[in-house]
Amino acid sequence: MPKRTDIKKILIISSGPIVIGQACEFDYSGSQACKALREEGYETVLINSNPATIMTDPGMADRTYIEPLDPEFIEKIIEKERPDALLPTLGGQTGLNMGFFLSRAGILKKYNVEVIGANAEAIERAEDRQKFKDTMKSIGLGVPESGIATTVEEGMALAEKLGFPLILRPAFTMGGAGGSCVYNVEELKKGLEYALEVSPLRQVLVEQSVLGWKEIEFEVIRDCKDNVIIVTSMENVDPMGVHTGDSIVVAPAQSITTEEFVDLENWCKKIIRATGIDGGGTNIQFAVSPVNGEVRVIEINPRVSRSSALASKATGFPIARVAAKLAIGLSLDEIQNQVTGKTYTFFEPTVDYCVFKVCRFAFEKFPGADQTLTTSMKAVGEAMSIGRTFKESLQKGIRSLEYSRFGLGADGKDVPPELSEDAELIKQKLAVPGPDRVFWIRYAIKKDFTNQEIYDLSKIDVWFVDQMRQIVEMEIKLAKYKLRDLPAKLLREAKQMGFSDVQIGHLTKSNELEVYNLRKEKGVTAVYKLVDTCGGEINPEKPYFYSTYDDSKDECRATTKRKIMVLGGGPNRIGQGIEFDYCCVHASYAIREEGLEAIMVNSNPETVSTDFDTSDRLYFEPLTREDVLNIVDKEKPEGVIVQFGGQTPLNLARALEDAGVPIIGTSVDSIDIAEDRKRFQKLLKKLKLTQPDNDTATSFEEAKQVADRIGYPVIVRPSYVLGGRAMMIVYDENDLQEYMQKAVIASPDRPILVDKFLEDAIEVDVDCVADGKDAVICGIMEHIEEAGIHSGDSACSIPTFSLSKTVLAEIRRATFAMADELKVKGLMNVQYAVKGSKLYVLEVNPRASRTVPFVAKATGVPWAKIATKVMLGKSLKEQGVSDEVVPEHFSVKEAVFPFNRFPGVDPILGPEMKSTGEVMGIDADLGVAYIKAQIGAGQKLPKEGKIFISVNDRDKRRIVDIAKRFDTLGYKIVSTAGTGEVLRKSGLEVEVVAKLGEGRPDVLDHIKNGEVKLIINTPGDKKTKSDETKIRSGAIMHMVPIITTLSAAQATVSGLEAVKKKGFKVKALQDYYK
Amino acid sequence: MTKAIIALEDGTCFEGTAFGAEGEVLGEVIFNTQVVGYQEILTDPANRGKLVCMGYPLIGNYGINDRCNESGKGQAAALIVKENSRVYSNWQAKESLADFMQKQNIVGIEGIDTQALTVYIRDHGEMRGIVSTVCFDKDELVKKTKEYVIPNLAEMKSQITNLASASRGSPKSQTNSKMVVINLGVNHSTLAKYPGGEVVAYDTAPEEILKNAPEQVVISSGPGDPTKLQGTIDTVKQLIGKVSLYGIQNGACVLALALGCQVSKMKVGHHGVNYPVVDPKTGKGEISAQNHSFGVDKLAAGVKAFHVNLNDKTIEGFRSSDGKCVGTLYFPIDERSKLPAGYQYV
Repeated sequence: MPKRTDIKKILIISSGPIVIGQACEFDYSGSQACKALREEGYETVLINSNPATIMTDPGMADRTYIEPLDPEFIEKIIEKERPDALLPTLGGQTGLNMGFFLSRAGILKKYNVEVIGANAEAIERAEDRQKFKDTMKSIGLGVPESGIATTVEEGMALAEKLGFPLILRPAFTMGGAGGSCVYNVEELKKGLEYALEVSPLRQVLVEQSVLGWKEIEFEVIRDCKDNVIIVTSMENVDPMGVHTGDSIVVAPAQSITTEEFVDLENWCKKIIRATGIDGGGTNIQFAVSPVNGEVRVIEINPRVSRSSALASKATGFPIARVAAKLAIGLSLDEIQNQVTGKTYTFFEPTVDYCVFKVCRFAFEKFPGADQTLTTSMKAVGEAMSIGRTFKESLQKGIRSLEYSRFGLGADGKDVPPELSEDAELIKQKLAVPGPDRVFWIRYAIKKDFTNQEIYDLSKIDVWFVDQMRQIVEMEIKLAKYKLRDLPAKLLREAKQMGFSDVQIGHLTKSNELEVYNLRKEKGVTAVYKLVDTCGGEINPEKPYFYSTYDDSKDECRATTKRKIMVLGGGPNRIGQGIEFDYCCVHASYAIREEGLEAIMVNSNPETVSTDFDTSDRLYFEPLTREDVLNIVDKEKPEGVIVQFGGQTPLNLARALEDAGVPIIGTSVDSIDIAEDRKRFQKLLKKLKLTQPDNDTATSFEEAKQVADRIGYPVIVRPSYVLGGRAMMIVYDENDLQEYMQKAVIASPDRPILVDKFLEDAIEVDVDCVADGKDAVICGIMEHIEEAGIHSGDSACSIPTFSLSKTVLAEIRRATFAMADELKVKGLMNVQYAVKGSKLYVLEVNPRASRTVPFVAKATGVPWAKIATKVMLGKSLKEQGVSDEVVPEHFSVKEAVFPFNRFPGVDPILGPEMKSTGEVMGIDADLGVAYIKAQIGAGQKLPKEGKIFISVNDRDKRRIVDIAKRFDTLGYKIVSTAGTGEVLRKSGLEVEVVAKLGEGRPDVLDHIKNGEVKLIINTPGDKKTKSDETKIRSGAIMHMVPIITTLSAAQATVSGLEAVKKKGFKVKALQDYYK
Repeated sequence: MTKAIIALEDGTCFEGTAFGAEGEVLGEVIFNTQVVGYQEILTDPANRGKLVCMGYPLIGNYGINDRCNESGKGQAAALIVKENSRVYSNWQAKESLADFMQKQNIVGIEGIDTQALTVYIRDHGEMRGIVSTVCFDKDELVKKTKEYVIPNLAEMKSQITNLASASRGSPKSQTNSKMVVINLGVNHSTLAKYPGGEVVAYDTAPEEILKNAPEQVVISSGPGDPTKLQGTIDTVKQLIGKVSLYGIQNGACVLALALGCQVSKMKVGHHGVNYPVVDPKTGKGEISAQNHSFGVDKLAAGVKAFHVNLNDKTIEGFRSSDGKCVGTLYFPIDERSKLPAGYQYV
């Protein structure tokens, strides 16, 4: 079919901030969609609140709105832009829900906007639990016995009929949010209450569990001609019961027969036809009984998804790009397969390799969080690995996760024998899925558990278990040799099983470097094979690459052209996410703009950097020294960029440079100066800059001496970490002792840093670009929260709003001086604290920081590209970059937190970063921009109603003014006795409610009953902590917005005042930069 | 571990280890891009005598069951894989792939870079080869491949007409006299689509075929060179106009030849389950399973292609002007495809 000519302008709704269950895969999908639609000549309007995305680059869409993903704002955009069509299937569950609700509310009809990609009926048949059940029954497909509950009572009644265990699935949520597996009435009641609350429709599916069944997924696409294809199958190594986002996934499915395959594929075709998707794709999840092959369909997602991104990367078939083109009326046979360059997208990709997706968790950031994996997703990131065998791919996957594990154990990082040889503990670890279960399978194998026993405990298929057993058998074989005696044949076999040089070094009592050298000497080197969509049947024009150790054909296509290699950031984690991928992608674009080849290395399937056409060549490989060096050996790039991918490539910089790899940009030595306390202090002294009093310590005794000298409170943290890992503000000696004992392994070369904590100081972030001669400030960001909250978790504004001209001048002077002294070539980020009029340097990072994309969006300047070109030798002057841009409008960045995934964890902020993502609010007025950011971050700020205020003693004086202003705005103040008394004395009318344990109804009751609409609660001392935790965590679970710092409370009230006066307006980025 | 080797007629060799039956077998080397389906591939009579290279590296995972056979026994001469799974796991599995191959006398070679072999065949064309677990003299092996003559159907007849009764849910008991299948090496999947159809040998006379006044005659897929089946081609010529005819893969080639079309060997055949066949006018079509090395190059006057391969543009489905003769170079697998009563495509 020819593409549609009756639509010209298309609105794309994206997914907003990175949260658990919805990460940068939607930047990848959305960017592909924007490109695909523009290619076809359509005008595109994009809305996304997330500034750290490639898709919100002003060049990706014609009109780009960084506004909250909220029906009110989207309607304003529709009113202004008058699009002909709305594409809701590329923005995850958020995009789909928005599309659905806009349609339901009649807004689309009002403005005559057509939904494309999936019509409202198809979405409803897929998402509405009852309609879904009915649709599946109509084609004769089994669904687990279940019923729909809209109240707790209905759910309890259903349970009586269905029996335990049960799975609760709230309708219209993503990543299994609010879902749970319940085993008894008590858990059921709790689970139902929560699930009903989080479902936008207050609808929950109560479903008989098929725990332990195989979980097999398919990605299916159908066009307007009724052509249907299956892109790939995927099998979850962890069976039903663990959310697929938390499960190790292997593609293609490994343990089903042809007949089962064909049956499932035919079900897929029936499902997509019955659902009525006729120009897009869907993910379909089946449960298959391992005992008799019975099939149940669990759910379908009629949109691009995390799984579809994975399927795209695993096969080379760009689902989002194709889905966008199908949405405007093209059919599969008309769209070219760009990887082969000579075939079409109407065909089913096949593979000649094995793909793994492994998950990265962040439980260490949330002490007390339940680490059991269930139906509600908890992983914050993922890595994908490709190998010729299951074993090779699995081990590559594990080392891609960058947990400093280098394969399936045997890397010197295993738990001590008293744990790994404890049969009872092993049994428990196998039966209760946790983030490290795969390592416990290894311990079980070593402890002589049979495949069957391991299956019985874990329900992980015997075939998978045996593959891991083969790895262990090889490990035992290797351990019998000294490295020098290791036969080349065995070495190659080990490499073919994915053993890393680190593992082999550990097992042969040698080390990584010696193994690497031995391999080169014996010719056991990596070859590269292709991701080509077709299993080798067609010679592809634009494949991407993975390494393996077959000793025959090397398909590496390294050229002799000038080329630069960019090292990506690996799997998303807290502290290192999409922002760094944004920078890597820009680096690649800039390299290509300069006429050089860009070589990308990354392992994260969710990203734009691993899109097949972002770089000239893509290597889907773990970011370890060994894997990177293997690629360097083949490609021989003239430069490698390490400063864009976050801490991952930076940590490799020294080792790579030692191996003779040309690192371009700021020197490795300069990076070291910034990271090394002593060297850095010397530098500051030379430049006459001040930092908070500080020292290093390797023991409690030393730390105590330091703290006594500089005075409490102090900030303590390990060196060389990202995202403030294990960083704490310590107020007294007891806390210090506790910290030094439990939290940290300190060593002489990796000491603990102890800094004076500056109370009530303003924190400032500065990004700057320098070329070794000149330096230009990219942006100065003033934090909303005071110093002490990790900069990644703090809201901040460009331009600054309270800093004096003198202080700003001092900031610029200091920044330039450091850039000059460190001979920065590329980007540099500095964090300052301003106390009174005094400027302190907190930290310098001579690399791209998390804030680079935000600054780029706020100022309209592509700083990462400029920095890349500097590294390629083009000076700032040559690029015409000379002046700092201080915008007239305000851009506020706000962090987004995953606390709702970790019930019971205290959602307070501190020096350790906890946010997964960010949003941006943009407006001529600072207050309005701040409120937009809050709404974008999902804080449902009330327009009226009761506000609960309870603050610690230090904040009591300053809360009065804030409370008064809320009162003036018409809110009712509720408080506990202490804060209440202070407020009353100042003449406010306050309703006092009981503290926990001081009678009912107490605060928590008010929260649970939905009476309190906003909570302001600043953390007090240890005595009150446990109660406060309950209140704050209760607020999260009941989705009541919560503010935990006074500065944020102040910003909120100012913002609400501004909004009341001025209201919300929407404005495209393109109009801000005009 | 026994050593094994595969040599191609142009001298290219790959070494690996043996599994399944041991020995030495000559045959034509083809690659298959399917992820699953090794059991069907080994038992499909169309693969009689072939040395099949699996591009997908992990083979044998779900073992062998008694529902996936395409005929009563092993047909391929050798299976070439990257890794044969030492354990299998599936509720239907009865034995391991290696045990099955041993019993069926199929030589296996593993540890081969099948990706490299696939690409080699793709670039150089399907050719003769030899798999051996007994002789490792490369010159000797290559010499043997050069002397090897690919047998025709008559020479394989005794082996392929031996069709087992057990096929996927096709009740053998009830006969369907309305349907006759000319057996060029028919597989169970075809028979399952024509429950009860009468199966006759490829050299059956036309009168015999028409004896019970069938409504449709199906010419099955099978191995070998269809251009050499002159007897069958002549028989089919005589059937044209008297009964509706449907040919599948090699059967379609025979039908095409009977209609006066040109058929020749492809450089690289189609062996996999992901081939898009579309109506050249509308672009509408389906994904199909294919296993053939011969194709229809040029249609005779009055014969029209209703399906072409979207990617390499080869003819995949054709029909005579009266609509009574239909041939497909593929096996339909879409849930909506229906074979009985003639393959309907308008």
